Amino acid sequence: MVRKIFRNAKLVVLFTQTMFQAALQYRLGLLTWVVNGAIAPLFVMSIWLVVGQFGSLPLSGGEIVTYYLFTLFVGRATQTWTISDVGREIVTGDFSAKLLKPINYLIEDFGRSWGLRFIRFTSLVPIFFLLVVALSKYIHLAFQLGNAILFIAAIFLGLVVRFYLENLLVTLVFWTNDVHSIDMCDDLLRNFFSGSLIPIFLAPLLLKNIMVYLPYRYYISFPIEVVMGKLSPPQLFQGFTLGLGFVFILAMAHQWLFSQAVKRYGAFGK
Amino acid sequence: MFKKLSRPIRLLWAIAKYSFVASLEYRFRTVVRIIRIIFEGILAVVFINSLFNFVPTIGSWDKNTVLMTFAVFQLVNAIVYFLVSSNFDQLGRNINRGDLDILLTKPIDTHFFIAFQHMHAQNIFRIIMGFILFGYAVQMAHASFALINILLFFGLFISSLVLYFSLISLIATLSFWTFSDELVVLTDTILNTARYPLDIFPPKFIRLFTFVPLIFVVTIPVRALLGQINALTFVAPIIAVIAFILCRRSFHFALTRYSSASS
Repeated sequence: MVRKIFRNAKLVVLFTQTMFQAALQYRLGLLTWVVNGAIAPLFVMSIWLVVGQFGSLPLSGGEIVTYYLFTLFVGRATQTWTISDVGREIVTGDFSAKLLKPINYLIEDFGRSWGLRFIRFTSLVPIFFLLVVALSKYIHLAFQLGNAILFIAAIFLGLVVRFYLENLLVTLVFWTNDVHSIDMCDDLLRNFFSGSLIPIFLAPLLLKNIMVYLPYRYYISFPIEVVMGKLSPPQLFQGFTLGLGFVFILAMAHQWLFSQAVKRYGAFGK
Repeated sequence: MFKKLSRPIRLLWAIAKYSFVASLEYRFRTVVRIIRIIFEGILAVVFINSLFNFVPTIGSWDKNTVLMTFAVFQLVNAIVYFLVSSNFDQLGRNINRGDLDILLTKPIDTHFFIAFQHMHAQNIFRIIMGFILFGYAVQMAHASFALINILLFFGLFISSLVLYFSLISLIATLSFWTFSDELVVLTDTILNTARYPLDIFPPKFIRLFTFVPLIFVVTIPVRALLGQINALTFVAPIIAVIAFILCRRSFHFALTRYSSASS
């Protein structure tokens, strides 16, 4: 069991390195990825700041700036590319090769996503720090070591939740043969419920109650709520427990659905 | 003259027909797209309502006029993408693979053919959603518009379409040098910022949105419809014409610099 874990960990590192080298070719893509991901949150932040000038919000201007700055970082830190990459492989038949390998395809997918994440962070982190420096006088964040550790744990939790949810959704491609539609649905739900557009603190009550109990909250909102110290200890405990619960449920659901999907998979042209 | 004009129109009609038939192959995707468009409309209403939960107005804009702005943007975006689909997105890929060469041999203006070679027939539903949202906003605002404002709005709406198309085309032209389509994706993100009234921001940002002519896409036309006319109202069509001329010139300049990837 321990040997298997070490073996899988080594494979993850190997796939990470491979993907890192492959992604290094697309340097313009790295820059546009960062800029592309920064424009929307900064624009929405500006709208909320303008609203704050005309009335009073539950968040101060500094807290809004802090929230959306961290959205840049957290949204990218928890990003996975499963639906587009694995979905395309299923449709083109390339996925058959993965079924022949003596390892679970999840290990390769997880490793590749880390490789992409590392290479893209080489451009994201400097720009993020530049923004932090430029907006430092507006940032409202009291650094506490405990919150920082929980923040990192929350990011990792969000990444795993997203990884399993996207793998569960991509399994539907075995039936629909349509990656784009599934990606569209996931994208829409993410915009609605992750907190990227409407922070949970500013959401209407009904939306807030729905957001708390959906896995999309862990993509962006939950880690930021943790680092901003907006959660009481019971809420922290509830949040992490619910997140772990999502990981378990999604992993089990994926395992079952994938076993059904593979039985009916007929790879086209491969 | 009529023959010259009727040829592109006939071509557009033929492209529209085959694009529509092609879209019917993907019925599941069409259904999902309709559901997505509905939810996008709901998300927009929820987001705008969230903003106005805390304030009655933002500057001179209230909830319904902001929704009107969003609806007009939906219409502009949907009509442009109905006509040009993701043709410009794929330009970089076509250049990389040498697929552009075959398009250059066609006896038709290359820029026209690249822009309109496929239509996004399913975007008709986004156009419908735009009209529904607009109608909803007008009804909630109990708004009535003077005829002159309506006419002005239609004229500015046409110039918005031209401007929007020209901006996408201008950026896509850079694909001849970058050999990729990432900049087009970035353009889309930037243009999406025009979906809300841009004159709510501080003056330096308004100057920025005027220089990068995003304010002319939706904010100025809607202002004209609401009877708030200023100098920028009459500058908008001029900007659209200049942008269109620039996009045509730059595209043909890029073609002169193009060397085939040998398809």
